[in-house]
Amino acid sequence: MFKSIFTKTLFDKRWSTLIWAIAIAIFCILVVLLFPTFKETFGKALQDTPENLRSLLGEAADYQNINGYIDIQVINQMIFLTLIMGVILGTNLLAGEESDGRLQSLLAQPVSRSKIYWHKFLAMSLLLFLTSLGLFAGTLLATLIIGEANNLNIGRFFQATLMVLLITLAYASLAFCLGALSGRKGVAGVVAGFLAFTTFMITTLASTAKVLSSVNYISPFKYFNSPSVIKNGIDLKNVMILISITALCAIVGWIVFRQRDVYQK
Amino acid sequence: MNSVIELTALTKTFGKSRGVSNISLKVPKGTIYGFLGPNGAGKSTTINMIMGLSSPTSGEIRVLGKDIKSHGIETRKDIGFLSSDMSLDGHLTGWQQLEYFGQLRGDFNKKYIEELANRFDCNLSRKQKTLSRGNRQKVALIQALMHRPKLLILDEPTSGLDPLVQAEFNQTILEHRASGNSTFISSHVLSEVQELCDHVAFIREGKLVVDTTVKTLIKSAPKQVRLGSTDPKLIKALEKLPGVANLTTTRHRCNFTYKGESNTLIKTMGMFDISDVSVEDADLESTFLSFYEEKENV
Repeated sequence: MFKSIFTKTLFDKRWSTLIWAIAIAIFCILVVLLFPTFKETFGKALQDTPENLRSLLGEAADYQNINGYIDIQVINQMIFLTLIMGVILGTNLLAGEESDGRLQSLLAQPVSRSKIYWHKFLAMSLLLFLTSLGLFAGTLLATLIIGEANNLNIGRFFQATLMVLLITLAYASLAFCLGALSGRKGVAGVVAGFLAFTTFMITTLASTAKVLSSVNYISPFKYFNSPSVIKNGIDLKNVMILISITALCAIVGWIVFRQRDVYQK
Repeated sequence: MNSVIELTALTKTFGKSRGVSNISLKVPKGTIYGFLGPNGAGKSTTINMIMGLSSPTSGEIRVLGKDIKSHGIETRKDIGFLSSDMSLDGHLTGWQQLEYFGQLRGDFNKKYIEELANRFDCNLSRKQKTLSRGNRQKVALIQALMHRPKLLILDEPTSGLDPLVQAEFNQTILEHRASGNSTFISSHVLSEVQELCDHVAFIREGKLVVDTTVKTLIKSAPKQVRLGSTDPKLIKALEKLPGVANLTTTRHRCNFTYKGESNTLIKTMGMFDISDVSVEDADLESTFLSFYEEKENV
């Protein structure tokens, strides 16, 4: 049944990934089902909202069409769920197994640490891809239900979903890397979670607090959906930056993991 | 290759705290080598370095004639490893776990695994999280044996096993040696070592204290004697008797360790009114310390 560490990792995480993907899809469906109501009421109400708050809530016009609505309510909001899932997954795959002693049993077999590391990393990437498909499929299904599928720019929405995947992968890789460096599940999860929250706040507040705008350059969120992918299309520079962050985390973790002492249970 | 494990001046420090210090030993091919010591002495630290899980601060490790760091994968193909509470995947059945490790090894002999499972009375069809600690240890034991390794490295292997399975385990290890293979076994149970090992090393506070054959060790092992009497004349006689040490008395008994001719002790005891006698092997540490002191005095 398990031909490799990669397939075994997929098998181990099949149920949790399926549950996350379904949960995210259901959230997306519920959010999109509310679009007709938002279009009627909230959009008009926003016209009287102060300028500063609009950066957080979006422009009134965004609530008048399905693409703008999905940009604000799905792409910018559901990212929290995929990030939580990504950090948990990245933490558990290496540091989690080391903390409970299973990694030591695996390392007693004739396999290299590099193989273990990269098989798990690739499995993590595929699992996150499958989770982001939940977001894509759920949203698409809901637009069909409310009769807005024809108005949805599917190509752009797919690109936006890809950016969700890339930023999730960046933070999951950070958690994975921290687990590879420390071997401690708590350290990896808490530090990656804290950094995700902090950088999100920096990017969110950067447009209203000028002091944060220079720090914002080191926040991965700056390169996630700014400018809006649904409105403007994907920015290859942002794609490259997020891929580079992922690659950097993966390589740093790999270099250290190959050499370091494995935690004694 | 005459030694399956060769440690040369092996040292491991954890910051300022001690790990192991300057350990050198050779495990001869075709033997069962006991690696003993109290908890926290450095047994697992040493085994982790032998398995390549951690690196020595200084010193050299050769396993099956190869450097474990540069030839880790190649070497581990011929090693079966088991630790005291080996963590396996709870959501997998025993069969799934063994198949997984078998695939990684490129060696999955279902028939031989079935044979081992029958031998240890191990149910491989249940998920491991539903098994007792002893049964999980059986799966781990099969995992260590399933590829007929040239070298078994066992860290406290029998903890959690019931006496019947322990006996079967001992038999398996002896058969493994009879096939020309070797075993390196860490333990803190002297009787287990006496039954199995040809050679023993004792580690204490990170340092190798004794490295000798079991025959030599047993010869010099003191007995823990408890006598149901506090007759002052008996105490005086014992004090004069060569081989008596650590003599203490309680309200109704006197206790001491004895390392001498059994007949001499029996004759001495026969001269007094003693309500109760018990003679046991001294604990592991005092056995080794006694041996160590004897060596130092030579």
